[in-house]
Amino acid sequence: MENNQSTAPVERGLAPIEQLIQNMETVIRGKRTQIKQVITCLIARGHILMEDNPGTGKTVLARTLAGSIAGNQSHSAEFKRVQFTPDLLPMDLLGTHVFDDVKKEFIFKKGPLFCNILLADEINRASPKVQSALLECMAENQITMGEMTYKLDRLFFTIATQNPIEMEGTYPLPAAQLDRFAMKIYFGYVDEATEMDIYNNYLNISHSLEHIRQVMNINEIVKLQEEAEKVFVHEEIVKAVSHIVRGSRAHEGISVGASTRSGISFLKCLRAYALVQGRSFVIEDDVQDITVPVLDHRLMYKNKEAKQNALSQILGKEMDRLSKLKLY
Amino acid sequence: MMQVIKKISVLRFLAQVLFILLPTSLIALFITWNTSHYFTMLKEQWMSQAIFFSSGLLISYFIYQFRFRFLPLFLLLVFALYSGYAILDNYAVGEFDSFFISIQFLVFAYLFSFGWICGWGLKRVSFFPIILSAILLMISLVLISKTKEITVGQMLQSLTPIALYGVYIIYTNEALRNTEKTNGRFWWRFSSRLVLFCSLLLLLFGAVVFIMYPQIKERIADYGGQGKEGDNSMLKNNQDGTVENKESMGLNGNNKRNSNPEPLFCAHIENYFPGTDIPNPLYLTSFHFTKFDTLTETFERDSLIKFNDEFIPDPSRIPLFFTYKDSTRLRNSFGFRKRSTIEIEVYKKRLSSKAFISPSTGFFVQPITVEKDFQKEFTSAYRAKSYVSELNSAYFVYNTDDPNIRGFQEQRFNELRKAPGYANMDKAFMDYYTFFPSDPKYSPIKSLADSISQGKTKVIDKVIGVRDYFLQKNALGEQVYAYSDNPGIPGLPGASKLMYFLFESKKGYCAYYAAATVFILRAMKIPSRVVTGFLTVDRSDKNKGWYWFYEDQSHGWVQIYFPEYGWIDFDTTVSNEEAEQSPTPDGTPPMQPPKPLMAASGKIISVDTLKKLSVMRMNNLIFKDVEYSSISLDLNMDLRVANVWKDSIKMPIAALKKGDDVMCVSYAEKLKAYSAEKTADLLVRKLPSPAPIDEIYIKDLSKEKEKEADKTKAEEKPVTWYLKHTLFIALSIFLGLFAIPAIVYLYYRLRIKTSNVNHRAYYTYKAATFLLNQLQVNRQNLTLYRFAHQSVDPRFHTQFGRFMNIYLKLKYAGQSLNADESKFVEQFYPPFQQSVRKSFGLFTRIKRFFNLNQFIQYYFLPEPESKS
Repeated sequence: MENNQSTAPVERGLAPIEQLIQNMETVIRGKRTQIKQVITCLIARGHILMEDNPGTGKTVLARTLAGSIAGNQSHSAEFKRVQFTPDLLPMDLLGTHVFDDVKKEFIFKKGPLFCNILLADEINRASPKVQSALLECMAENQITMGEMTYKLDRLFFTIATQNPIEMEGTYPLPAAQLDRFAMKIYFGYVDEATEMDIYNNYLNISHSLEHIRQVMNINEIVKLQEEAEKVFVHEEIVKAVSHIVRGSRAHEGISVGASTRSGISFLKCLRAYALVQGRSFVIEDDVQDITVPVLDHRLMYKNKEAKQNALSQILGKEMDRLSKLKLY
Repeated sequence: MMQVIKKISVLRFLAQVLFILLPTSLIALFITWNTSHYFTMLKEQWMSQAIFFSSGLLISYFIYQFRFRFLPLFLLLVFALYSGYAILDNYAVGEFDSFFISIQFLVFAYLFSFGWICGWGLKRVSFFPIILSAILLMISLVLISKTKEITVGQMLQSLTPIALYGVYIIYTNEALRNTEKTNGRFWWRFSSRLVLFCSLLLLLFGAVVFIMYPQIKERIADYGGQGKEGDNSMLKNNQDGTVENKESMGLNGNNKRNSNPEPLFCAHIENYFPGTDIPNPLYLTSFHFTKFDTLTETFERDSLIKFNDEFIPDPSRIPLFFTYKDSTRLRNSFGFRKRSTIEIEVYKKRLSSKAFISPSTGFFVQPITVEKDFQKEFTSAYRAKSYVSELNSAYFVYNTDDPNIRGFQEQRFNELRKAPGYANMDKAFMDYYTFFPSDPKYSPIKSLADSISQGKTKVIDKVIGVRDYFLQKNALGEQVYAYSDNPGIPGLPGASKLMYFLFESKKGYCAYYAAATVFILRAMKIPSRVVTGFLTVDRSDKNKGWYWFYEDQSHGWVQIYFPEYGWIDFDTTVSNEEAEQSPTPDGTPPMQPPKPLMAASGKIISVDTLKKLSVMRMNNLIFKDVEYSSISLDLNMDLRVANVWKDSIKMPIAALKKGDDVMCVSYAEKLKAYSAEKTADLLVRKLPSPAPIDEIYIKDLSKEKEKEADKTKAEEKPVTWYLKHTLFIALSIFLGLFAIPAIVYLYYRLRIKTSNVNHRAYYTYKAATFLLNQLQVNRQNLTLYRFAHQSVDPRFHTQFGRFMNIYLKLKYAGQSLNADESKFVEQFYPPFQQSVRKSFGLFTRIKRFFNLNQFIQYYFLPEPESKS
């Protein structure tokens, strides 16, 4: 679906993102859309939830991203991976107070959450208690334990994965929790040619992962995040976002529509995505690309048919409106 | 979502306005237009009246969308209208003004309220369309009954739209009511269904009319030929209140002799018995009916025959004092024995200004003025010359028992016995005038003709035999054939009325007798025809040579051709025992103006008001009935005794201006001494200079134009005309409809050329997407941006993608384009169009540009496609 050649960067100085994408593509093939979505979330200061069958490259993607970003001291950004299991406890994530024999006091032992990029694998297999602990942190960007509050790094990005809900032994995330993810994306299998390519080079994959170049540092990412907030959003695009969000509430096939918070998140993602696409302004195509990953997981559908059609109906109508507008 | 709902209902409302209210308003327009012909109160303001109705309709339709109750609002409206009326009454000053305004207001109030009720009904009452169509049908029936003269064409014209509308509105209203959604597909489906339905309806209706046309025509003919039941079947009433002879003669169940005591016209016939001053009246002929339509049993005119001697100029179209002459009529009359030229002047009262009547064969006409004192009584006048046979004296023609007249008529019979037979006659002529329909239903007439002509050799004896056949008496001494204005029609529809008259009812009026006589004569191979006009009765003792004509003198009789003698009048209508005498004594004939010796028309070149002299550049000169046309000669005129007229108002000489179009007339005795010359040039040189002039008529050009416009108003049009025009209009609507995409595209192209940079980008975008859509380059689910990059550019090798980049930047970035981008936009379209065009054949392009479905898709929402 994604266009490869012609979406060349329009504005100067945005090339780093393209560089990042290309860098990641040396490891993960045929997933440009997903790479872009992940980067969008990163730049929008959001978190991403990836859902698909095991073995489709979710973890590799997260690791590649972490490997491409230089940390504070010349090594790559701090990447932690937590495998969620039913018996995982919040303290396994957050860290715990341990009694220091020497100092005779409790000191805080940081959990894996204290990192730049966290891969929360199979998040729906952990108990709701753990899930909510994680999601709190994602929203607040800090951890409060007892009397102490610990700030997380200024770049804190969670990539959660989950198996399709139908699988056994899972605790589906409640709607309120899902709302905290900026996007939920699907991975899907690659096409045949790409798959052949992957097989032919499979020995090199881990190798390339180890030798991935660091093309950006955390400061640059933070700068991009700031830049995204300056992306121009036309009034009609805001209107379109509002129409889509409100439309989702009024649609007959949707029982719970999108919240205002999701609207804000939507706008954030739009700005970031425009930047990823190499633009300093949002266009209607961004709306088309972003709507489903941003909104789909926040809606509760009445039936299967609605799940398939409702959002695209609302979006289609709005896209049509936008395409016919004469704005100057 | 509120907005979505609103939008949908706005679309719905639009659909209803388009499909229900617009047709209803159009039909209202049609009805008011039709109605205003018949009700003077409406003052021909049909356009504004239709608007009154439509506004009521639209407003109430809109209001009753919401939850209002009918009655309170309607009462409010009535109250508002009433108070408006009351205020108007107080406000308007001047009795006439207030009357006029309040009448206007009443018309408005009634129409508006009616529209209001209709709007409510259409919106709220499910069966209202049925009521509405019934009401409209009733209105149109009332209108038809008001029509003086109904033809199939007219009836179809006034009933068809109503009937079609009725079916249409019932269908449409129901269809629009039952659909909930108003998305793109609905519009397409609905309009296509509607088009299908309407064309089916039209086709059905057209087929019925086409197949049933003869029957319809016949059926209508039954009820008064071309007039409705109870009309005078020889005369027709024009809408301006004048009367003239009908242009066809049918056999009707009823003939209403109008008892209007007003005379139609009076005529001075310059014909006296030789050597005496005893006036010799002549029948006045209007039309020749040579052809017989078997289907409707109507006698019709036929101006296409090569031996046509019917002279029917339109005196109202000939300028005053101009002459119109057709000498071919003299030749075509095929008679020279006992013939002479007779002059006649006709002064019209109620007779149409277009009508022309003259005894026997007319060949010359000249409109003349009516003396000032008589202008109130007579509307127009003309002078005519006819080539008349001495044997056509009315006393020869009258069908009467009076022994004196009978004896006198023997002279004519004796003379006609000398006429040679038909052996040397032109075969085409004989075939035409002895044509007898081959329909077996008329064969009894042949045997009747045989029995009448048995033992007679001379044509005239056979003719007398026919006359006597109608005069025969039964054993009781009663007439077998009687005169009746109410002969009735045969019980079986479609049965021949002629046969019914001849063999069953044996009563009828002149048309029956004339028709039957012609049939019998033609069965005997005697060339004959029916003529209509006026029977002349000499009632004037005081004013010799003057005759007065009333409506009941309109008549139809027979002309029979005798070689060398020409067409001779015969009247076989039996005398009417109930006939009334003409009700009033004749009036005073108009004073005859002196005969104009010279009449010249042209432009004034100079006027000398002191010396009363003037020079005119003539373009037309009539001297002693000889016309010199298209000349350019100057005439010096002596205006000392001249009267100057403009629009029948006397003016001073000073009113005469250089450049005026004038007609100058001279009665001067002085001119009598001169005779007409070969050319106008010779004549003018001989005439006295300055020539004495008596009357100058200044032409009012604006009035002339008005007259012309009146003339061009359609006369009577045959049904095929309507069918043709309907077909033509339907075809142009059809073509117009299919041309819409091309027109819209051209519009976008035009806007590209005429707009500034920003708008140019927009219209370029519109034109490009429109072109691609119309050529069925499918966008599928892609956004336009991707469509441009992934689909259009690779396929057509264009730069549409780059254009879209710029366009979207312009659209959403809130900043204007730089020089490069502007230049690109400016130059983008022509090569783009060219490369897209190249990929399609000309035929494919045309075909796809006619695709309306594609066109509609461009403007409506794409169908939401389901993810599979």
